[in-house]
Amino acid sequence: MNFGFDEDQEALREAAEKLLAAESPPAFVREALEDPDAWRPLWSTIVDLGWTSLAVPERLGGLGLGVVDLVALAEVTGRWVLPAPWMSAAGLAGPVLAATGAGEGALAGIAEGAVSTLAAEGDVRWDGRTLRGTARRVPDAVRADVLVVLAAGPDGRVVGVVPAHDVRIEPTPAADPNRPLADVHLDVVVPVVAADPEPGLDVARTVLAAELVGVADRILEVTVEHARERVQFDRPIGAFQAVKHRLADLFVAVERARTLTYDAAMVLDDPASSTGRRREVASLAKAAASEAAILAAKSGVQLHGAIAITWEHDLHLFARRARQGASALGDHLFHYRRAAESFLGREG
Amino acid sequence: MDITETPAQREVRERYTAWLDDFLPDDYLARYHEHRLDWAFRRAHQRDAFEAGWLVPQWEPGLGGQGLDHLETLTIRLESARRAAPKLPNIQGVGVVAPGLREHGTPEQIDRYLVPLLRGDEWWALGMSEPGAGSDFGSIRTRAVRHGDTWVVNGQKIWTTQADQSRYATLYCRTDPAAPKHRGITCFIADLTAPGVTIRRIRSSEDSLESFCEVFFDDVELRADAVLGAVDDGWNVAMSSLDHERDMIWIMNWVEIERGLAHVRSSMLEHRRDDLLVDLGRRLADAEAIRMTGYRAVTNELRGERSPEFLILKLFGSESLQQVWELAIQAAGPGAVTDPGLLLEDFDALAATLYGGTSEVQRNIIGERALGLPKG
Repeated sequence: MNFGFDEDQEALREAAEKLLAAESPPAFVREALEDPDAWRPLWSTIVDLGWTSLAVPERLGGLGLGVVDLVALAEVTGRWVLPAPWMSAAGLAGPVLAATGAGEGALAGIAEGAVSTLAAEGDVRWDGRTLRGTARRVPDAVRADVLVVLAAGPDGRVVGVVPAHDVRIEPTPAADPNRPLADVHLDVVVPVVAADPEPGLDVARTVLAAELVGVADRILEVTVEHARERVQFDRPIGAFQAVKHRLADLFVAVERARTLTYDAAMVLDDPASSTGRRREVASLAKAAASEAAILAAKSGVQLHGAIAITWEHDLHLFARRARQGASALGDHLFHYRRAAESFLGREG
Repeated sequence: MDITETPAQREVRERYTAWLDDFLPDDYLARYHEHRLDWAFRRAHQRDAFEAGWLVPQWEPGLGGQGLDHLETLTIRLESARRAAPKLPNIQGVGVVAPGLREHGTPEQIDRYLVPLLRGDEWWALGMSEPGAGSDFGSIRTRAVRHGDTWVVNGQKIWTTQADQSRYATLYCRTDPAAPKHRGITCFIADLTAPGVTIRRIRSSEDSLESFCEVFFDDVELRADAVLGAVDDGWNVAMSSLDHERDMIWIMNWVEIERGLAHVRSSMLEHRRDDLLVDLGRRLADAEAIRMTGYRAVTNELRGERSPEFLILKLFGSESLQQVWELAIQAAGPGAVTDPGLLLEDFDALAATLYGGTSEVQRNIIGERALGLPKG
């Protein structure tokens, strides 16, 4: 057993940290909230760097790497609240395509930088010919070229790949406008693949968990910095146990989530892992990371004080992504329950 | 990153389980609660583990080990926990005193004390807490005054686990009253059978497996060679000893968490309790995260990297242990209060967030050592 990232992964993380600190600092992320096209130049850069091709098989033009690699990078994108649709394409749509074999062309397209996303929720049905219904809260749908749509068919679940120009996209409000949400109305004839999407979704949940760990980690970092510098009652507030203990508890929550996320990534990359084990670890990771990110956002605001509820302060940028990510693909209540059902030998 | 066992990990684990299977009676798990109270059985387990090199696997043969590396050692310790191997009867001796002796002892002290301790022939207590110095260890008042080649000790220790059954204690005394409170403390090896030592058992609010004592020292004489480490350097001896204690405790906690989860599982299979599923999921996450954070920390150590996540394990393990048994009580329903076994677990869990440094002290340690926050 080895719990460390390898040299290539460490190099990727360092390069990503450097790039995003320069190209996606909080000031840029804040501007992007009100400028729907701000992400585009950054997107070209990260596609050129190969970030979207990490986990795409080599025969489809990708790097053929695994979940650990996706997690390694997702944590950094979380730390900088990357406003470009990397998560939707490489973290959500890609793993479902790869696990279900629903569209090799679409997977190759992700490697090349086609903006892709996953429509996982809603009431879309497939009647043998047509995908019909509404997919809800689809991230980055307004930016997407291609949608990977999960639907219920007459004989079980199906996965279809749909070009964005064949559907009607209705933007909705979103906690994090840097990952805009939309309802997607479908009435389109497309071929589908009959497949259980859960194994692919479990990869997506784990990558999303890594992003949430990154968000929580960065909030903890800036809040600790603040607690060391901010002086009240003649001492840095971090010297008060009421503050110190709150930060210690947050550190425990973040490390708990990080360990479970790395653990899940390793289990998912190991071909010997059983289906039940994959389901359990992915749920534990998503649940713990969702909780840690929300706790971080709340503690971060509380310990920064009133400044943290202003537009100019950075905290809301992180809080937005924490809130939206925590709810996506099952919140902590759903996933704790799912893991418990699995432990009790029920399918859940 | 790689979840699979290395061939070396697998090889030692298989050798260990073969040895353990051979040692344990066939009905061990079925009669776990009886075996848990069987001190002779637990002593025999310690002796055999010492001889076979499974007691302190990272140490050399002859000292209860076989020179395993950190990762292999953790694998054995967790496997032992997973298999509910008998708990060492005097666990603080092997877990806390032995590494301290090795680190700070003179060759003569190591020669005299280490093997009898490891074999379980001589038990040890930890003489740290006092009535006026619990979490604030630096406030100890037990005095040792030097007269030529002899130190004379006066004072009182309290919450001393197994003092009544122990031959020795690591005894922390104030030796320089003029020095600032963290200096001027010296650690001694004290013979608890010496004249002037009085040991009284303290009655616990519920039955407990380990005795709990207070120890009085009235003009107890210690020879100069009883000093462990340097004179007036007891603070450092104590801090490294507490690190060993935290390291021992989180694995003990993990065993109890796993046992608690098994208890919850059987209750919830008997009576469907969907209202408890979310909490059960949380505790499953704790158990997995504690074990895997241990591996993460060891990986970092092996790579020579700082490992701050190691500092969370005592707080996280003990708090989670309490929550798991709380859940076990909820899952058992109102009848829980008539189940002495469950009540004992509940009581034992209350102590977990106190011994080895309270949760409040752990949060200070995490805040200051992991996060770099200023001291209060």
